[in-house]
Amino acid sequence: MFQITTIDDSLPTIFFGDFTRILWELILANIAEELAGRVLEGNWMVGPKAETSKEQTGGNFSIGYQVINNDGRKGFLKVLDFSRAFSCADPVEAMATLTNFFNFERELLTRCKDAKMSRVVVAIAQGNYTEEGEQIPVPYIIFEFAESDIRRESISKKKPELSQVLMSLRHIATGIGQLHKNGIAHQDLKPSNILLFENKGTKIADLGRSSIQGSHGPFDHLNVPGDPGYAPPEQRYGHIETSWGPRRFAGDLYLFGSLVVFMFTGANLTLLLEQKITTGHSWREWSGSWNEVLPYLRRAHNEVIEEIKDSFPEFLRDELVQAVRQLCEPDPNARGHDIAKARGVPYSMIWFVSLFDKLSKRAAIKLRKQK
Amino acid sequence: MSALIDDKRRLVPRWRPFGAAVKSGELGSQTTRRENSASLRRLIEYRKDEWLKKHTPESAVEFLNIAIVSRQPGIAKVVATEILKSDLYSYSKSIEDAAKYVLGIEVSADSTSDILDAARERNKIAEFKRILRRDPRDSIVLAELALFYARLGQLKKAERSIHSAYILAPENRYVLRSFVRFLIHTQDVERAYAVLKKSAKRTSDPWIAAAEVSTLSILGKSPKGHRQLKKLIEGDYSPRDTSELAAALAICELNNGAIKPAKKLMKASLRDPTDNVLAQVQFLDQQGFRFHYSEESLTEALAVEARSIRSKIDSEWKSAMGFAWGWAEDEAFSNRPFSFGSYLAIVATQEFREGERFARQGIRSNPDDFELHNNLAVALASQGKIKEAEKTVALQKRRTNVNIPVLTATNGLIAFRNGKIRKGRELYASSVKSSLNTGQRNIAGAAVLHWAQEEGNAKTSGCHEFIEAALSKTKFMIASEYQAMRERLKKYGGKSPVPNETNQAKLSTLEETGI
Repeated sequence: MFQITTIDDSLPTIFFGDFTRILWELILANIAEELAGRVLEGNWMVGPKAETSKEQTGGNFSIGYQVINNDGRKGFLKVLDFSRAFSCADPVEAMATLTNFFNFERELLTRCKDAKMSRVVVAIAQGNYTEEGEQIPVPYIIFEFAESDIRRESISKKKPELSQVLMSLRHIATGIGQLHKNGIAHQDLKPSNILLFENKGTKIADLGRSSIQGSHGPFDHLNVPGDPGYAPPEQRYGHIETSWGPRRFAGDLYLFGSLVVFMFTGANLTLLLEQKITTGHSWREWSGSWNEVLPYLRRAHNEVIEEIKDSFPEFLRDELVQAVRQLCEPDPNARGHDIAKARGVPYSMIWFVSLFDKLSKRAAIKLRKQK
Repeated sequence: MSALIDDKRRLVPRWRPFGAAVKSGELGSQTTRRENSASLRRLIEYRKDEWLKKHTPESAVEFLNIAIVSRQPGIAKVVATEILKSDLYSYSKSIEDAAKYVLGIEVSADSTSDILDAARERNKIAEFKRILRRDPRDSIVLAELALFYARLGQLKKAERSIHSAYILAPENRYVLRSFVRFLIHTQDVERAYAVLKKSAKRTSDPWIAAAEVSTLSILGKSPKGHRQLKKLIEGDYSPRDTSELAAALAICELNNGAIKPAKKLMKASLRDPTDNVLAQVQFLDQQGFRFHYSEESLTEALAVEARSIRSKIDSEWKSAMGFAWGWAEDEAFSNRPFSFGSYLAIVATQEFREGERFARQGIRSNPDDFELHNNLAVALASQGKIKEAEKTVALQKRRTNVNIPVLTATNGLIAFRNGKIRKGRELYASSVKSSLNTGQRNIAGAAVLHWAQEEGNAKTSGCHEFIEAALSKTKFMIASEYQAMRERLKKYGGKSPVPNETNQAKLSTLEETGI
């Protein structure tokens, strides 16, 4: 259904005549880059560019703006930046690829909206903007507006209450469960993709790197479909599981476990693991098989858990350590909640939702007693 | 009399804590550093640019993150320094530790330090058990747990752990070599060979092949497929990876009297030798086989056994003892470093308290070892702790691996120190005779020298003549430690005590031994 094409990695070469190139760049770049002040369909006024407006994780090019509706609702506008295609060897093909990526995300968002996913950031509106007098439309998506994300919060000096942190994790687990139930694996769960809303709690954002079961997504062919800085070990070592569950859902479980670690240590598990993986056994150096390196990864994994366990509050330590162990188990085939595995649904999130719900309530009760 | 140092050092695999094994270079793979994919290169550049432009804490953390995960920590040194200096933002301890990692600042203490402390070892065992309760599949931790049990002499527990590790990861180099070393330690060499024979890697992994060649050599057998093994040495593996295999094959050739191929293989082995090979080379040096190696390789931190043997050869006793402690830390489960240390302390330097310490530490991990108990008895008797020495000797009678001539000589020492000189002489004479009868000429020679020393210490009448005769009859004792002892004996002087019936040192007794 979607064409699998990657943007060429080589340096730009002259494909069009210089004049044509410059003209296209001017038309497309200016529109995408200068939407501030325009009014989009549905009375959305485009505001200034968002602080982290451009994210480039290997081929996904977009620009972000703040938008406000005349009914007072705020939103986040994501506009496809075609101009980036001109830095590629074959701009026409690159434009087609970018369009594919964008359309893929739009279709996913529609699916999520139709499935009424409460813990996934869905599109409020989407469409194409065409500047007056121009022929070429600029595709866009408007998302719910988030106050912050957990990456930013982790560095803030004002730390949230423990029960809130655990409730956030419950929300994330719920969001992953909602995606998985609909055959979607997120594959790029990381702190900057977990958004915090003032009255709606925490939601998962950015489905751009997702995979849909039974369908071919634009990033399905990559060993590391998400951010390499957060990727599960099997992806870093280029080990590709043949069945969908261990390859896709298991990756999400790892990324969620890594978020749990992040919430309490400020660092994701992949970062911590890489510091413990001994010389000669890292993904950069290892030339043996996945099964041969697995014991060394397990050793590093357990060393990290032993080291970070004191970062978890003492009264919840055992449960949190257990959860991280189950979620981030180095072997993707052994990942998952023990009960889920026993029941033959290893990647089910139900038991993790229930766990974080319980822990959050226990933390709230403890806090009340202290007050 | 102290038991002699073993004369059969084998090139068996080392068994160390995982971290130390990694440092030794034993656990790498044939490394070909993978290049970054284009998308990863772009991402690194993007994260760097973002940080350079914005200098926000988020961009700093993301850049640090990708630098570490892409195994290029060097590119993030500036951002790491900034993170550590910053008081504007509240970076977590984990992020600060990651920054220290980038800057090469040690965060936690080395797990291999101070390992002779029993309490620390028990803490380590508790830590390993805690990890295994959470993750019973961690084969590396199981192998390390076995090692720490072995250090405490708890061999049954050690066997359970190392066997479980082997079941989980039979082809893992660390686990397999640890299991083989454990089986050799417990004298189950046939089983060690059986385990190696099952490995699919015995002809493709030089570290496993080396273990097999050494195990076969203990069994008195020659390895098969020499040509294939030599090809492995000449193949794509690094000189460090093939060092032990080349040395193991060289020793086989030496045993077969093939000096030229042995030299060639040893040359290959010494291009980048492991500490184990270096120790073997020092050992062979004592046996009269010299091989050229770079002096610099001896300065490697793990080459403590090699350095202690080297120092012994060079009669540098202080450093020999110091390195022996390092060796004891490295191989705390083995009797060899403790035997070596206690022996040198007794024979070469006469630091009997140090000898006692070595022996006691070694007995902790090897409670049934005759040599260590014997050396303890000698060290105790030499310090005047006669009752304790007698008690230690009494326990030896129940053991099966007792060297009777050595034990008899030790009883002679105790008798001398108890003032029972005639009995002492009888016992020493008996020791010399039985040593010669069983073909242990070195033990006979050592017994004579110790006997002469006791005559001198007791200032018996005629002791000078006795010492002279003893020195003359033991000229074949050329080992450096006995040279040191001989030099000491030459210095006995002063007035001869008044002769009487009991203290007359009788040369005839020595002559009668037949030495």
